[in-house]
Amino acid sequence: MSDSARDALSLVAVAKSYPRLLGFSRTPVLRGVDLVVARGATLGLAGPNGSGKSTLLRLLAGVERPDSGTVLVSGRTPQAAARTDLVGWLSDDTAFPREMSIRGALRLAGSLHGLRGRALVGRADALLERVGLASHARQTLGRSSRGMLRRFGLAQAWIHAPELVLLDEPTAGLDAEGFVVLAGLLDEARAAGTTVILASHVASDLAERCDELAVLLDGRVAARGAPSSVLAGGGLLDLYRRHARAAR
Amino acid sequence: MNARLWFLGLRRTASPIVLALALGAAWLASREGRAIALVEDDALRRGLALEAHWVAFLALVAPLLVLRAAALRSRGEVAWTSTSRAGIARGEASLASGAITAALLVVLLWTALGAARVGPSGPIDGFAGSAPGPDRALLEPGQPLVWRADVASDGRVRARIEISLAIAPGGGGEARFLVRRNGVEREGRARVLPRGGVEVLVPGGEGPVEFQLALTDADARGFVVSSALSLWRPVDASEAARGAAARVALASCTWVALAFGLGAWLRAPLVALVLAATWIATWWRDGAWSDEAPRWLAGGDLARALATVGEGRAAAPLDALDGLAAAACIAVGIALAARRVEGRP
Repeated sequence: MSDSARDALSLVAVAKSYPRLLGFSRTPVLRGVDLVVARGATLGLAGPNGSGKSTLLRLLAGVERPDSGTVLVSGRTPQAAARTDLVGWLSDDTAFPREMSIRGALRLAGSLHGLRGRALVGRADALLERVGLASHARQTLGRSSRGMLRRFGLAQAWIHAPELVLLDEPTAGLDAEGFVVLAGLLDEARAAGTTVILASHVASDLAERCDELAVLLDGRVAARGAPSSVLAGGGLLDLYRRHARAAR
Repeated sequence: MNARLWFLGLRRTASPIVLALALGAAWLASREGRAIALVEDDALRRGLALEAHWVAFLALVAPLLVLRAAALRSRGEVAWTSTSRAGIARGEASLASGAITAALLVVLLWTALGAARVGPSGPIDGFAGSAPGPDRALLEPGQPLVWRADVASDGRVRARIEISLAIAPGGGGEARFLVRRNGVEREGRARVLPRGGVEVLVPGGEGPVEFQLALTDADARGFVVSSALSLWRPVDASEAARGAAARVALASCTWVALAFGLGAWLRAPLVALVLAATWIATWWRDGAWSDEAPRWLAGGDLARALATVGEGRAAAPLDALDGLAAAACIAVGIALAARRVEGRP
């Protein structure tokens, strides 16, 4: 039995679908997800394309609502959690203002979370240093490479020191230095007791960086446990095949 | 409101280079042509120049503002602004406010250019209200339309009625407009072909006056096209310029806010088409020149007001209802944007 106020997040029988054919029909994405994550844990979320990883993160970020079921972040609704700056989010398809400088956009992100004045400037500059973008701070985001944008995305997710960080495919486009930056941020998060949910379909990303792994298949949590046990045998691909055979 | 998002909205809507090009093109397009230069009446010439100035704005600058406001938010960008204490609605309101501020700044700049071009002038007729028109619309020779209405006048108020005449070949098209109060009678005459207005100076005083509208030509037939009389009194010419600028500013704010909201759902060119179709249909609808425009549509009477300015007169000043209608449209725009973000980031 979980204690929703003490858990970082809990999802109970969460279902979500999207309308199609002008709303006459719906495509189910999540079909009853149950998931509880303790504070300070780093959970990897695996699953093939279309399994509902990004949808799950959007529900946790509070920008979408479930059709049924309960989603709680630190015992509150995700919207309430977002309003109190508990959540940092790097979504898979996030676009940033191309005409703004890296420093300006990061300060904008900080101001949205209520940071002001010296606290904002200091925090933004420290994070730019931390993700290796300090020397490019005046460069516009439109002229930045994909890897730099991803590092900027990590910085904006951490700008307000949230309790829960949601990362959707954070390694996509990262260079070697970016991988080191991500690993460092995850280590610091673990030390600070920050909960991290990291969605990826690359097994090695998750195995190396997460305490636990949950695998989403057909809109449900099909497996959960330590990465070594979940990935034992043939790895994620084998897990997907076994699940598909069982479903038939 | 978030100041940085506000500035982002402002900067994106009023992109300096594109805007400079549009303003330059509109400036060239609104230059006083030969036809205007030939007009001898000073008030009319200035009115025509002012109307041309604002029509060029509506044709060349306003669509650009709408297109830029509709394309203000790129897909995926809201993802990182919505998971914050600022929240979706405040984030969208900040961006929309920036876009509206941009529109206001551009209108202000255009107003200054207009003032430099047209310059100050003496008194002109300004709209002072309405009074009931005749019960019957059909106007036939020998059967004058007679009616009474309460009109307060300081001796400088003019009453005007819009009529349309059908005249047999060789006939005249003159209408006679009489007004009586306490034994004092005034008369106005105008040749109308096929449509126009006839005016008369209302004698000073309070209370009811008697109006009489008649045709002088036995072969003419006609009808009254407006359901009410319009009343005019002398005002400073600057009121016409100020009124036109205020109307365009309010309409531009409304368009930009709605474009911002609709832009979350539709592509920018489609948004521009939807807004243009809605407002142009309102401006050119049957009865647009005689009846009141729908008050809930901010800028719904803009075309008629600019036409009034083009006649060398000042249109009715804006009132609180116009402001409320614009505020409602702006709220709808922001709500549309926020609703879209909540549905799909």
